[in-house]
Amino acid sequence: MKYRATLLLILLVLLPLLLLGWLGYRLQQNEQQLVGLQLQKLVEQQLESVDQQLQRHFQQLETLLQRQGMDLYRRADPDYPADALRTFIKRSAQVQQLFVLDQSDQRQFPPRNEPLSREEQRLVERLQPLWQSPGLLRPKDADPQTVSPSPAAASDTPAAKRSDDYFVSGQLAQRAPAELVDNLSDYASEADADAAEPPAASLAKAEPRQNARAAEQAEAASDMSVESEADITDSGWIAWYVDARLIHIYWWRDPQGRTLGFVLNDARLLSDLINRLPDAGAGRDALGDAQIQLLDSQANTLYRWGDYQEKGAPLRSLGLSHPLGSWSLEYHAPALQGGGPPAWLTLTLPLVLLGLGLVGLGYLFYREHRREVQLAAQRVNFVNQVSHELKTPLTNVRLYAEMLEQRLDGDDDPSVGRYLGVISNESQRLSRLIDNVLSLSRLQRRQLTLSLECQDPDQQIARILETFSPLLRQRLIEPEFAPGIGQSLRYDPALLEQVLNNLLSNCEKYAPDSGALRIASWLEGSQLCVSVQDQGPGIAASERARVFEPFYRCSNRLTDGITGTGIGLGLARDLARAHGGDLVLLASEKGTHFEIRLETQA
Amino acid sequence: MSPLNIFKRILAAGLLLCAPFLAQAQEVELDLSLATPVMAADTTQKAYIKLSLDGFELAGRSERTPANVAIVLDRSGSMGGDKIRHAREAAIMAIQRLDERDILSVVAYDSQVDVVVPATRLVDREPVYRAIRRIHARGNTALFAGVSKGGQELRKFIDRNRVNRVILLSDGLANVGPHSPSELGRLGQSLAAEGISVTTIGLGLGYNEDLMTQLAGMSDGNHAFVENASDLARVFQYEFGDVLSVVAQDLVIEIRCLNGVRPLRLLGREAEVVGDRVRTRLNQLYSEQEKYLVLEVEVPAQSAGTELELAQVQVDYANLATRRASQLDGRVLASFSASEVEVQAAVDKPALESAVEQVANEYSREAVERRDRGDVDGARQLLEKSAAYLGSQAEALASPALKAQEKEALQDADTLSSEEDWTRQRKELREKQYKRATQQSY
Repeated sequence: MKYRATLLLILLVLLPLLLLGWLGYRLQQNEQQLVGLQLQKLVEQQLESVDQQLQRHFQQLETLLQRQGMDLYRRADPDYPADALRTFIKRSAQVQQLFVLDQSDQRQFPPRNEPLSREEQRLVERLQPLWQSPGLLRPKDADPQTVSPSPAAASDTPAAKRSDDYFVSGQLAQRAPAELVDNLSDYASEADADAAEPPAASLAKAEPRQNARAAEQAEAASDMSVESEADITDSGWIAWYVDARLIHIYWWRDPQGRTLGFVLNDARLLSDLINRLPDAGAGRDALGDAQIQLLDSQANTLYRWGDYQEKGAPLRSLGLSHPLGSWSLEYHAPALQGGGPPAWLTLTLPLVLLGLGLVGLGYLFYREHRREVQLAAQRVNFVNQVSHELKTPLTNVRLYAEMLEQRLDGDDDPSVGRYLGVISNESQRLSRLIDNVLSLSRLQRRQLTLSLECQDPDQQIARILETFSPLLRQRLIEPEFAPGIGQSLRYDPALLEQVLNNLLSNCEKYAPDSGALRIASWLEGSQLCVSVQDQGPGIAASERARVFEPFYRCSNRLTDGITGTGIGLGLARDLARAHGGDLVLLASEKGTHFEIRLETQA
Repeated sequence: MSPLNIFKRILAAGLLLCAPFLAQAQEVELDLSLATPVMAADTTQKAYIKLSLDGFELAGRSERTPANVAIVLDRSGSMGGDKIRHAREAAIMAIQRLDERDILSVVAYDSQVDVVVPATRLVDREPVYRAIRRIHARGNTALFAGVSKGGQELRKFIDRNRVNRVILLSDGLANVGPHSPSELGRLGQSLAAEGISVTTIGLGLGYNEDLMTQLAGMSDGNHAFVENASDLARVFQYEFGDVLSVVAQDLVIEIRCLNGVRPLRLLGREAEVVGDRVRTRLNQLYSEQEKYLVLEVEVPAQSAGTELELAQVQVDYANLATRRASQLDGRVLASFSASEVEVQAAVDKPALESAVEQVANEYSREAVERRDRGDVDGARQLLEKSAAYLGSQAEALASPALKAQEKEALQDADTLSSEEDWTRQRKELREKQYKRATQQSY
């Protein structure tokens, strides 16, 4: 009983907790997956926008270099003057070196038969293989990611990402002419300042500079649009890893079919790219607790922004578009859930709180329940005590009533005998009641012990009926006993008496005026059987199962106005069962029909 | 050729000095001299041409050229404590010399780069000071990105009529992004093409002096080695003094050697030599300060009594006082004589002194390179040779400056061979060589 209550409570606490926990976990898992996917997408978008940002630089550079190439072309008559080209190189911030190839890809600049500066010599040595590889500057299609065979090593494997023979040639992935003209402004002015005009001119124009600038820009823009329509000269980017440096070359074919190759200043290119990326402050605002890194082909970090201090592998990495194909971006952020409260807060904490609540509630119930049990036990105890206390004076009352009856035997006054009969009957009823109560409590405490005696049950039943007959007769009930045993058996007579007493007093209470009450006894194997059948109103079929429940009283007109404790039948059955037998209510057409069975011993 | 020039040529008989002096002030002065104006006949020989440029005096403080300065501060972990505190104070003190005409930006870098003060006209100083005071040290050294962002801030207001300068302070090795001297050199070269120079200040013993001198050298900025952070304030003051006294910018110098004269090398400076032409450029010239170049040439044998034009020089520059583009030119002549006495008597002492100084400086550079390769003895021998050369020339020219340099070379030879303290010595040497080659004012 005790353990059951505890077990129940534990179940009560654990079951909802486990259920909720599991559900919560699943929910969170799902949500995390969703968030993870969204995050991945977001990160990808972010990286792609960075890539576009860098691409835009190349687009602008392309426009600038085309303009400068055009300027040089206009001054070429018919050959490009070496002096002008050298001045251009000296004055250009972005371009480190320049080469010009004629229609048949023969070098025009640096000049072939004139002395060269050291840097020009180095350039020639370095680019000789490039110029000799046929068709390189005349791509057959506009595929932006053409991976040409490296002229240095004869490797023909596009997958070979070994940095020492990295070589890619092609055009920029996407072009947005409208945007180009838009973004031209900052470069266009610069281009004019440092490429086209000698410094003297730009200085002389210092005062009306603003106006001049605006005009130049307009001119530049219109120039551009005209050019982009007019000439279909092809151009492209070459990225080449040579001498531990990634070199970018932009080549442009002039209207006469000569190729101008602008070898970019790699440091300046990186510097410009970095300048397109946010600084630490802007990175903090844009990324929050994350970091983006720009890596070169050897996975060295070139630049990083964002607050997160990287640990381990990146959440995502993205290879950049041509001509930065060997570089990549990496996104670092704390693993998964991008910003939500941590798992312990969303899942564990409510579960713990719920568990605590349930435990508290369970504890309260448990305490209440224990108090109730204790109280009930106290009450039973009290009733037992009282019953015991009542038993002694009652015995005395009966004893003296009987003694008085004997003394008065033969007295004429009939009323005295009647009075004494009432006292004796009522005290018997009272003692039966007390016996019931005591038996009940003994049964509950499992303290009932059988006191077996050798007796003839028929005689005992007759004696009991004799005691009851005055009462029954008053109620117009006529007991008819059919004895069928006729031999001594070993059983507990007190127990049989109590069971019969209960049945008979029920009969007296609930079946008045019912005429014959048939009682029969017989022996079935070792079982002592007694049946009691009245002619009263009986018990409805629906109630039959419940009449044995303790404290249950059929609530119908039958019981109206009749007092009772509601323990009689239940107790009687329990007693019979304690004696190895049973008390059953048999179906009958009229009245109630009980059958007692008691296991006897030889 | 103007009649004025012809008049000048007559004045300078034998050796020619030709510069278009228009007025006393407001023009850069070009001074061409040959260390040996009279050379021995009938022999192929080396000669030194000295080309010196003198910045004119500024008319007044109010006349100075407005500056566009980006201070790029290293705030990596190694700058912690006193260093960053001194750096902040030095920067603030230096900024106090600027006024409303000037544009300032401040960039701080560790592993990342923070534009602490975006390029702004210096009208309200307090926010600038506050932002600088908030710079604290942490993290790594993204030097390349720091300089890049500094350049970017300058570009917002870039103007050939301003002094555009990045002032880089670093105490450590660049370890995020590019970090080789040549890469930083190319960045400097590119910035120089836009008229930006980078001054590099190396603090303590942890920085890479080759990287810092390359960056400064390619962009014609200054370089300083500051061992003690408390000296930063002084160096910043000098630097800003320089910045505020620029009188000419973007000087493109072209020397064309004539009559079979072959250019060998330009001592101490980067130059492009194509055939008989030498081109180089100075980013700026400071007020009342002389910058000079020494070109070593090989002169073919001539017979006695001939006069030969060795070279023509042309200098294009932007005059910040007049805000005009100006041009200077001149010629270098030499005569040949069989008489040794005549040759010796004609020696141009200041020119030869400069040439010797630069030649010795080249020796010193080479010695450091040898030492780097582990050839301590070779380096020592080279310095000793340099000292002997300096000694003999000091004697001949009776020059105390060369005498001092001889002593220095001997001292360097000693320090070179000792292992201990080499990191500091090397930084000092590099700084000394750089200053000597560029005639840095501090």
